[in-house]
Amino acid sequence: MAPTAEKLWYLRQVDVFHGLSDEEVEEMGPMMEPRTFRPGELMVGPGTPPQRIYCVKRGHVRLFHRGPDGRELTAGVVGRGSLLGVSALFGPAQEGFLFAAAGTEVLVCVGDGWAFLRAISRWPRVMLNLAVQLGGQLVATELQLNRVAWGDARTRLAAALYGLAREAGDEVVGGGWRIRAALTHAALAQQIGTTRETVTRLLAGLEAAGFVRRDGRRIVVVDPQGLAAAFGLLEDA
Amino acid sequence: MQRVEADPSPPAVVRRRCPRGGLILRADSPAGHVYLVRTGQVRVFALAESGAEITYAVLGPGQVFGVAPLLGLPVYRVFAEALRRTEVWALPADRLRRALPQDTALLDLVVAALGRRLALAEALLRDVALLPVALRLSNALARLEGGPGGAPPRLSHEQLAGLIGARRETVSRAAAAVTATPAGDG
Repeated sequence: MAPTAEKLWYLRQVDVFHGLSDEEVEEMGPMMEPRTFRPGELMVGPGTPPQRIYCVKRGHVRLFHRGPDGRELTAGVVGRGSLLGVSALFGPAQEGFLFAAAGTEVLVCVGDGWAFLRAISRWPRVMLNLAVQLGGQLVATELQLNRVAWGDARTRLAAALYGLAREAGDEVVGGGWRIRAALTHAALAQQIGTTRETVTRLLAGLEAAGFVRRDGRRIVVVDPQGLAAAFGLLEDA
Repeated sequence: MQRVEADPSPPAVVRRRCPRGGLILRADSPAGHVYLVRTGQVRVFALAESGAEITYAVLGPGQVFGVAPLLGLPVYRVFAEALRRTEVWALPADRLRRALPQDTALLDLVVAALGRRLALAEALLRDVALLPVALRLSNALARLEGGPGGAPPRLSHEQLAGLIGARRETVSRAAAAVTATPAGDG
C-alpha cells in the first residue's frame, strides 16, 4: 500500500471518523503526520509539543498521571482507533496534563489539535462521535476518581482488570476476555495505587473466586459481567 | 425546583430555577434530560458506599451535566445540587439526540463543555491519587476561586473533603494550618 493510501486507511479506522466518506477522510490526510514510538517512549509529557492530537493506528498507549514525587497512576490503556489529546485542549495550562507513553511499538497520526477540531467541526457526525467519546471518558475518569478516593484495593483491581479486558482484550473461545498486554503485578500496582505484594495477594483471591485465570503471562477475565456485578462496576451501555 | 417555561424552539428547552441547596437531579433516577447551567453554580457529586459524598465538579454558566442519556445510559450516575440561586436548561435527551446531528453550533458547545469537564476530572484524579492533602486542598480552592459563575462557592469542610478525597477532620486540620501560616512564610 502506498504511504498516503496507508495513512488514509488507518485514519478510517479511527473511531470518531466513522460515518465519513472516503473523500472526507482524505481531507484530514494533509494535516496529520505519521509517527512511530518505541515501547516505553514518552509520547505526551514535559518537553513534547503541546496541544497535539494523536490518532492511534497501531499498538497500545498507556495514559497516566505523574505526581511531583515521581509516583504514577495509570488512567487507562488505549489501542487502535483511539484519539488522544482532546481534553488537554480544554483544560487550563496550569493544570498540567495526562502523560502518554507507548506500551508497545506505537504508530500514530499526529496533528495540531485546534486545526483538527476546526476541520472536524464541519462534520456533525464526527463531532457527535467525539462528544460521545468524551462523555464516555468522563464517566470512566469519574468512576476511577471515586474508586481511588473511596474504594478498597480489591475493587480498584477488579475495575482495572475489567477495563483492560474491555478496552484491550480479545474474546476467548469458551468465554471470557484475555488482556492482550502481559501485565506485571508491579504495573497493576502502579495502575491502582497500591503495592506489588497487595496485587499478588488480591489477584490470587480473584482467581480463587473464579473471576480471572492466568494464561501464561496473560490474564483472562473469565466472567466480565459477573465481575462487574460483584464489584458494582459500570458495564458497557 | 421551579419550572419556568418551555421554549418551543427545538430541542424543547425547559428553563428551571433552583434555590440554593435545591437538588436538580438524583442518581439512579431515569435519565431523560441533559442539563446546561445558565446562571449560578451547580455541584455534581456521587455517593460512596460508605455514604460519603465525592464532588466531581463545581460548574458554572455554559457547562453541562447529566450527560448519561447522551451515552445511552438509562439512569443518572450522579447527583446535582444548586450551590446558589441557579437557572439551568433541561434539554430533553431524545430531542437533543435528534437535533445534534443537524446543529453544529450546539455540537461545538457540547464538545467544548465535555472537554472541559474531562480535563477537570483528570486533574482531580491526579490530585487525589498523587498529591498530599494540603496541596490537594490548595489546588481545589484555586479552582473554585477561578471557576465560573461569580464568587467562589462557600463549601463546608465536609464538601471540600468530598472534593479532594479526604476526611473532614483532615481538611479542617489542613485549613487551620494554612490559616495559621504567617504571611510571607513559604
